[in-house]
Amino acid sequence: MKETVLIVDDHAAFRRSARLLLEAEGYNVIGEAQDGRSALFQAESLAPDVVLLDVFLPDLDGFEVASELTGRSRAVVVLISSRDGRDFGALVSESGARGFIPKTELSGASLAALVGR
Amino acid sequence: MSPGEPEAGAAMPEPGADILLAASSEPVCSLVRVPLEEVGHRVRLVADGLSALAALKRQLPDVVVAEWDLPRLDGRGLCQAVRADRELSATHVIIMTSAARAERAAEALEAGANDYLATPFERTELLARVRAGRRAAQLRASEARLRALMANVPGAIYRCAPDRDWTMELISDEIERISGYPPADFIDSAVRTFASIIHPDDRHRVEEAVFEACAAGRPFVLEYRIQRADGDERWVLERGQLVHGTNARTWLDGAIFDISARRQAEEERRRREAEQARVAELRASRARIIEAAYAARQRIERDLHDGAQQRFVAVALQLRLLISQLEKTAPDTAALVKDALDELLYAMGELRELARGIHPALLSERGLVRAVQALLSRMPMAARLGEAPEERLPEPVEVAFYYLIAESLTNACKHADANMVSVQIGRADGRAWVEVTDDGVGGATASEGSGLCELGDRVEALDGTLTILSPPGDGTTVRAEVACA
Repeated sequence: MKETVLIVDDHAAFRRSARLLLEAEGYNVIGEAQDGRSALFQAESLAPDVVLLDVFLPDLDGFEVASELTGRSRAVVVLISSRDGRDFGALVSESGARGFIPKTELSGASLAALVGR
Repeated sequence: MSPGEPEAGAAMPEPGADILLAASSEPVCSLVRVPLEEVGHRVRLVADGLSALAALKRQLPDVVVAEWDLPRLDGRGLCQAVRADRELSATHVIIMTSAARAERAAEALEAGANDYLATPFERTELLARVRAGRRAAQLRASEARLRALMANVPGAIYRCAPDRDWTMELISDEIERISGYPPADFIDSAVRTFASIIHPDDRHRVEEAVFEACAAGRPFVLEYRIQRADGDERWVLERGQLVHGTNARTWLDGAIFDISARRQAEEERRRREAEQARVAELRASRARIIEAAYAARQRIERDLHDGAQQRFVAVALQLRLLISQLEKTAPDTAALVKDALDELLYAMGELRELARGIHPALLSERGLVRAVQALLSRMPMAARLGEAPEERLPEPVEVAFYYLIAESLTNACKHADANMVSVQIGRADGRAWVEVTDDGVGGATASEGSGLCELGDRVEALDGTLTILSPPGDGTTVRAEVACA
C-alpha cells in the first residue's frame, strides 16, 4: 500500500513537479492545497499519511498549520521551503512537524528518510 | 501751549499772581506794590538782591520785579544768578531802570532780564508788563515740561515737513540714541536729511506708506530699517499723522521707536522654528529613505522567491524525476543530468543566500521575537531570549532591532570569543528598547563604516539612541532605544 501525500504550496508549478516526482518514486499524491485553510480542510477529509507543507502560505502561517495538523490528525507533517531552513531554528521542531526539507532536496528518498517508513 | 487756547482778555478775571518785588526805596516799593495788590496779585517784598535770591529759592514766584540798583546784589548779579540756576532759570524777571539811564535797559537784557520798565511808568503799563511776563513764564514752563516729557519718552518725537527729505522742524534727543546722529543734524536738514538714514531698500516703501496715509487722512504706522552712524542697522517703528499748522502749513507729527530688540527676538524665533522644522524634516526623510529601502529589499526578496526560485525548484524536481527514470534505461545520460542538477542546486544555494541577505523573510512573516529566536537557535554558544513583548512592534522598529541583534550576535561569534549571549526586548511609555549582552572580550566600538555604525544611523532615524558598553575584557552590551508610540 502506497503512502498517501497531501501537497500544500501556493505555487502551482511546484505542486505539479512535486506530484510527478513523488508519484514516480512510489507515493500516492491524493490532494493538493494552495493555502493553509484548504490544507486543514483537505487533511480532515482525505486523512493523508504525509502532509508536505510550505512554511510561507498566503493566508496562515505554516508553523501554525503544522501544529494544528499534528494536534488533530495522525498525519506526519514535513515542512518545506525554498528559503534557507537554518533561518527557522527551533520553530520547525516546536511546531510538531517531523522535519524540514528544502524544496530543491525533495525526493522520494529524502522524504522516506524523514518519515521513516 | 496750544495756539487754540482762548486769549485771556481784560474782561476775564485772572487769578492773582505771585510777585516777588525787590526794591530798596520806599517810594518805588509803594509805586509798584499798591497797583499790583489792587488787582489781586500777591506781593512778597524784599529789600536787597541776596534776599531776593533766597526768596526765589524758597518759593518760585510767577514774576520778579526788581530795581537795578539793589544793595548786596544788584540787578545784574540777580539776573545772572537766576539764569545760572536750572531751578530758577524759567523765572520771568522785569528790571526797573531809570528812563534817564537808557543804556541800563540794554545792560539788563544782556544780563538775562526778560523785560524792563523805565521809571516813571504808568500803572497800566506795569500791570500789562506783569501780565505778559506771567504768561511768558507759563509758556516757558509748559515748554520745559514738554521737553522733559519728550526726553523721557522711549522714542524720538518729531515734527517734520511732508516732503521727501522728511525735513525736521523738531526732533527729540532720543533720535541720537537710535541713530547715533545728534538731533540738530536733522533740523532743517542742516547736516543730513532724515530720509538719508532710512535704509535704501525701505525708502520708497516709507514714502508710499506715509503719503498714502496722508492722502487718506489717517494716521500711519510702519516699520522700517535705518542705518546708524556706526554703520549698524536698526529696525524702527514709526507712528505719525498729518497735522495742519499755522499759515496753512502742514506737518507730520509723530514718534519713532527702536524695535531692533523685538525684531531680533522675532528673527531668532523664526530661525529657531525653521531649524527645528528642518531637523524634523531631515529625520522624517531619513526614516522614509530607510523604510523605502526596507520595502524595496522586502519586495526584491519576495520577487526572487516567488519568481526565479520557484521556477528553479520546479526545474530541479523535474530533473530529479528525469534522473530516476533514466537511471534504469540510460545510466550514462542519468549521470549527465545529475551533474546538471548539482550545478543548478549550487546556483540555487547561492541565490538563496543572496535572497536571505537582502531581507529576512521570517521577520516580516513571523515578527521580531520569532525571527530572533531563530537567530539564537543557530548560535554556536549558549544563547537565550530574556524579556520580550508579546505583541508585534511597528515594522520600522522591528527591522532596526532585528538588524541590530543580528549584527551584535555576529560580532559575539566572530570577534568577542563569547561563551554566552542574551537578548532582551522591551516596550514601555512610548519607547521600545533592545539589549544584546555577551560575556566576551569587550572593546567593541561603532567606528566609521562598521556594521554597528550603520545600525546607529538606522536607530537615530527612529529618534533613538544607540549605546555600546564594551570595556576591554568585560563583555559587550549593545543597547538601542527608540520612540515607539
